Amino acid sequence: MIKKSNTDFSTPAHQPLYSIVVIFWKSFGGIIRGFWPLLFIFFMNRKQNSNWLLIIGSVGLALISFVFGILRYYNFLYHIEDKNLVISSGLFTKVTKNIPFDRIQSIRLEQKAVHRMLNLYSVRIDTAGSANEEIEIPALEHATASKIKEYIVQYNRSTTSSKTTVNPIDQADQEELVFKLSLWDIIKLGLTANHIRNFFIIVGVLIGISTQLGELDDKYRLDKWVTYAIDSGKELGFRWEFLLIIPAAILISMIVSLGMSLLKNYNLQVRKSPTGYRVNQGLINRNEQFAPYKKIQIFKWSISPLRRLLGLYHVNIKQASSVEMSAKKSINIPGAHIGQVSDFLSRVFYKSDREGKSTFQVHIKFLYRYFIFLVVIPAIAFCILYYFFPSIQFMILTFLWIIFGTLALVRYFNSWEIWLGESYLQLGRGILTMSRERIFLHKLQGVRIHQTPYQSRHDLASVSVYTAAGTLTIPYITLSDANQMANYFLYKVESSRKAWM
Amino acid sequence: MIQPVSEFENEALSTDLLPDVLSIEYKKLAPSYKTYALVSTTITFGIIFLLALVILLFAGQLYSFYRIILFFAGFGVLYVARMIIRYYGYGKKGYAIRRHDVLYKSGIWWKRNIYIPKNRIQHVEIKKSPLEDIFGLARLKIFTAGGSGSDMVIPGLLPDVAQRLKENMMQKIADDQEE
Repeated sequence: MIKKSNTDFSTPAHQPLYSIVVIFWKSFGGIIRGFWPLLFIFFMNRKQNSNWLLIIGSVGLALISFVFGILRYYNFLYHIEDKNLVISSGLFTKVTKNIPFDRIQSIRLEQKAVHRMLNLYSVRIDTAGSANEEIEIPALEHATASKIKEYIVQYNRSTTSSKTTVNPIDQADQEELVFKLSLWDIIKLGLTANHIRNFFIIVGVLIGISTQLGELDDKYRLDKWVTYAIDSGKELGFRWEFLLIIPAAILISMIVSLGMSLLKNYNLQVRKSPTGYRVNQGLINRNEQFAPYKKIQIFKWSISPLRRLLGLYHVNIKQASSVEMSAKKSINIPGAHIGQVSDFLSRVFYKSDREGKSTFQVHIKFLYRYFIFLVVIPAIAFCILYYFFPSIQFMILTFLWIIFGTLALVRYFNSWEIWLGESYLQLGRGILTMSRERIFLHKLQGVRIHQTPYQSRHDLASVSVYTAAGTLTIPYITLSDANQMANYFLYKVESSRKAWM
Repeated sequence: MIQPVSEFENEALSTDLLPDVLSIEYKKLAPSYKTYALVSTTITFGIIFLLALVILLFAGQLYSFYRIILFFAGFGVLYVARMIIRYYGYGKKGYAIRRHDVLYKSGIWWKRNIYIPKNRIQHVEIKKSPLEDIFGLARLKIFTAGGSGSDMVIPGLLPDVAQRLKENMMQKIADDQEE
């Protein structure tokens, strides 16, 4: 028999009866949110004599919410079973959730306006995987809610001593400066930024400003300036001086990049402590980030052709994200030399550089397949367009597409690196900017092997590995390699006693 | 074909000795899942069909015999194709529970295999829609911290099987805690 409340939560219990009000309110809100376009049209279009309709509609809506609320109330049960929080819920579709205590990251008691009127609390539970999943007990009395919270917190405190993290502030004296960006480095970074991208950003910003100003006064409108420039250009005919526009654009982009780099990266310092890295950066807003070693999931470093000349790598450290940190935790360290990159790597990945590694290759069929998708099919489309609208521009476009598309694709294919170490997986690739990513195998969350019909015919497969900070995909390797990899990954995860975060 | 260039075999542990995902025998979903899949597809198509019909009628698009035939034929082809895929899809779906992980495969042409280690499971839920309830079926959803791509859904389970699988996974998590 279901009891109304129990002290040790051992049997399934309902929420307090008067929590129906909260649930009813939620159902009502849900219906409004689901049907508001219909309701809006209904209210906008109502003609005379429709007051009755309005009343019937409102009463109907309230009645439906009420019935749904009651059903929700009766279908909602919670209890604690074997160190699991078990929640059953559902209006028509019945769901029973099991949440193991030691997977719970945090528990919050929350009150919305309706809760406050009745002095009820909603218990919200975050797990590492619950970013898109809402786990909550919508309405409980304060005593019950805080008892549940206490119960779980107590349990987690007693079992996991390792979870008690040292307050990073306490160990400030043990910190050691491992990386610092000098002013000269920042200037070099500014000069070697992606100027093409920055140029387009500047153009975008200019267009944005001019459309806003153009609304105030016609003389600021950008399109007028552009037509003016083109007209006067036509009048003058082609002159070599016009080519000066290109260095001017690069110069402007360089100045802007330099300014942005200075604002963001001024006095960037990375300190290592026994538990993680601390990064300080910024000219006006000093920004501090902390990355505990055990939360680091993906370590990425990349280099663009310009920066290759100076040997400046961009390092990106991705951490496990949970609900409390709404944005994905990701730390960027621009302008590291290769020695510093390998220093970071060896600190994050211990002795992994001394491990033996196997390398794999992306199958040549990858190149054939994407040549058809990215080069042949668009080229055919351009030819069809050319047939209907014959113009020299289409011809040039088609040829440029074929030449540059093929070059980029071949370059991309050849750039692929797949390294499998004893404890890590490293993938590298890039057309112009080469980037490499490394993950710990014991931090994997899941593995997926997928095959398109084309891959099936040729005994090929792609492998995706999921981490708490993103997914890495290995395209087009042989099916047997893919299966072997999956076996190895699973073995590493399942035999490891190390925490993934 | 491609060979691992350097010594994959030379490690402390040979890959031949690893438990192999290929040697696993997958369990089929409950037989009533086939009927369930067909009925659920029919209901979904029925709703979309009626909605499309009402919208097209009000928009005055179904004014000629030719158009009506085109509408029905188009819908019919899509419906039959979907039914065939669902029918044959049943045979391609399967799950396996090993000591340390859960495996699920699906797909006729686009094949997918998902492997989730039990010690990475965050939480588990059993879901039952009204239609699934009629067919005596339930689905098991397994969540990890790897984002929605690595979440696993095993449909077409008998409720007691779903319950047993869930308990098995919870047991594994409890074991982890003990150690």
